[in-house]
Amino acid sequence: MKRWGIIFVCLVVLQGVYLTTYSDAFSGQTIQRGAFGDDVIELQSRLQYIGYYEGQIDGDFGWGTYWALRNFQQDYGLDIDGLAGETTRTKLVNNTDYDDNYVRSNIEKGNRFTYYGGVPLDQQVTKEKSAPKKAPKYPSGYSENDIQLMANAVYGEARGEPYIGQVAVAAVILNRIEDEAFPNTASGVIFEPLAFTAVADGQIWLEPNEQAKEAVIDAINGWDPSENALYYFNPDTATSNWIWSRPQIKKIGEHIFCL
Amino acid sequence: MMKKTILFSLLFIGIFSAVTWGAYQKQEKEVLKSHMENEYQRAFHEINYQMDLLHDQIGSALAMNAGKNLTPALTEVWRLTSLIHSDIGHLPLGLLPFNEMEGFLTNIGNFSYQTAVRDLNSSPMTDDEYEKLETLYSQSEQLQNELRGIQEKVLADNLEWLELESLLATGDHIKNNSVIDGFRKVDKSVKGYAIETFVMTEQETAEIRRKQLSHIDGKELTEQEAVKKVKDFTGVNKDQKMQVSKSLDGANYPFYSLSWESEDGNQSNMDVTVKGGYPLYFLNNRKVGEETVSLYDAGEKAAEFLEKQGFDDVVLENSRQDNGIAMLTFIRLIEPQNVYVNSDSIHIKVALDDGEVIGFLGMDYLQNGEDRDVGEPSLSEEEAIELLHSKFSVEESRLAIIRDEMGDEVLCREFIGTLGEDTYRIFINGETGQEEKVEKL
Repeated sequence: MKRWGIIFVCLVVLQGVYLTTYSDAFSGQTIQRGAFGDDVIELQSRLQYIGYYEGQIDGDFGWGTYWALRNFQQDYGLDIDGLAGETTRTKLVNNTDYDDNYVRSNIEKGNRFTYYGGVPLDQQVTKEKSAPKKAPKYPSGYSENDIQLMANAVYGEARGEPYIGQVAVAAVILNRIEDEAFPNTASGVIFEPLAFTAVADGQIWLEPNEQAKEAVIDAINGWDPSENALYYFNPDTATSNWIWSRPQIKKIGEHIFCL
Repeated sequence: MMKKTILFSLLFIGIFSAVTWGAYQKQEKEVLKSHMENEYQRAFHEINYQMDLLHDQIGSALAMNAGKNLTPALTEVWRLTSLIHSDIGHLPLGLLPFNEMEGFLTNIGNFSYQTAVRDLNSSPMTDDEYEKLETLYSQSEQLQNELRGIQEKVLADNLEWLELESLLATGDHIKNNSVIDGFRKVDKSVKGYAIETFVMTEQETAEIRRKQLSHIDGKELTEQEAVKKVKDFTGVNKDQKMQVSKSLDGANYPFYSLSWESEDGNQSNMDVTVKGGYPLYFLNNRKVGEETVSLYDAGEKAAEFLEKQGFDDVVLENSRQDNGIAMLTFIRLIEPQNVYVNSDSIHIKVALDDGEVIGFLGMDYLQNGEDRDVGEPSLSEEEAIELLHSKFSVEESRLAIIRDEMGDEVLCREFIGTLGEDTYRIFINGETGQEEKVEKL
């Protein structure tokens, strides 16, 4: 813990040094694919300014930005690593302009806009609010709506449980989707009659909190505190004898998880 | 007098509206109930009808000799199994042991699909496969008969699924219910069929062994040793109190679960195997403050962390910044051949406020940790590029090991590139040149 603290302090100091010695642009971090935020917005804008990046300036460093950056690095004789490190950033800053105010205000307003150099800025904005919010990409192809549905189920089933128990319930849903003896979709598993009590008594339609959603995302990212369970039950309220016959794996909170 | 009249009329109106309202409610409930009942009935009778079709279709596939007609017949078998599977999901059988049936259907589906999609002219059905189909034919007939038996009872006694559902949900002693007994019997026979017909392939048993972590070795840890292991791993204070519990008897592999609460009230959990104390997962559920660490630095920190824990053959493959957290994926790199193994992955979560590692997931790395003989692919890079779609422009290429559809590991040439606006990853089998997998990134 202490070590992290020291590293943290060093980083802050280093960042300060960067900010004072180098240009007024970029925060000084090395930007890599997967990053999100102001530095990425600036990177995309600068790449677009000289015609390398044609996608939407949205602060999301995806593959489109990655190829644009690599092409830039190639043309300007830099190491082609797809990382916006110090040399690459300096090169970019020296060769482009960045109008922070213009770019950010358009993003905030949700305007569709571009930022090509040599074209008057007022011609590059269309006021249509059509810029669609890109859905965040989760592994295994689950959509934002699937996550919402699973968060509903987790909240209805396990809102009184510790966080890890909620992740485990989400993991059971995912394990069922993978298992051949269960339906193959999130909705199929969740709405299977008598599969979940929260579905049967309507508690699934309670508004889930942020934590339930985080639990689902952890489970989708692969965390499985249930260690491969397909069922769980509360030993105090379970009515089925059959469920007791399943091989039990572990107990988390009030739930026993089993195969 | 006047008062009394008003009082009585008010009372009368009150009772009258209560009765009307009650009657209306009851009627409405009845409508809903019968709607629900009809849904269940539809699903149930549909299953029976489709089982008939399935049996017939397997029969016609048997009767056909030529590959040309066989493909549509087998595809139809595959389609029917998936339909029946889906209808079973609509019935309130959640608390009944009816999973064998669904598993059996999936097996039939996979078998017919895999046979159907291959070129049956150049590689016709083998004797084994034909025999399997014959067995399935007779098994599906028996299943059909048993299900028909249940259907007869449901129709003869006007059985309601809703009643059955409430019976199952309350779990009252369900004895002598002909329908429930019938389903139990079907499930039992299916279990027998599945064992008889679908002998597990080598790949499937290997997968089960991997899931059970049967290949890991090491000394059995005591609880104290597990606590020490976890403290070393997470770097938490030596004096930290931890709750330890051992897995129950049904677990695929024995493990210890540890949980602890930090001074500021954050919950952390970690599981390690009893044998050898391998870390399965670690998760610290804490709020993340303002971001001060870049994704790049988080990657460096995670790499440093892994190196310290002895994972010295993994490299950062992918990273994503999401709400103050860096999600990092590391995969195994086999040297000196420079082959990347996607399945052997470790996921790390780093908090971007101070760069602390708050999550670790080592299951995939552990499950797949076998020794591999890695040779050179016989297909050169140029030859492989020739096989790609002509509009696909290759940006990056490397060697990779992935699992093919059958579950075998194959050495591939991996290409990342663009087709139009989108980026794709394509795996070309290093020996056969077959396109093993295409992913849109």
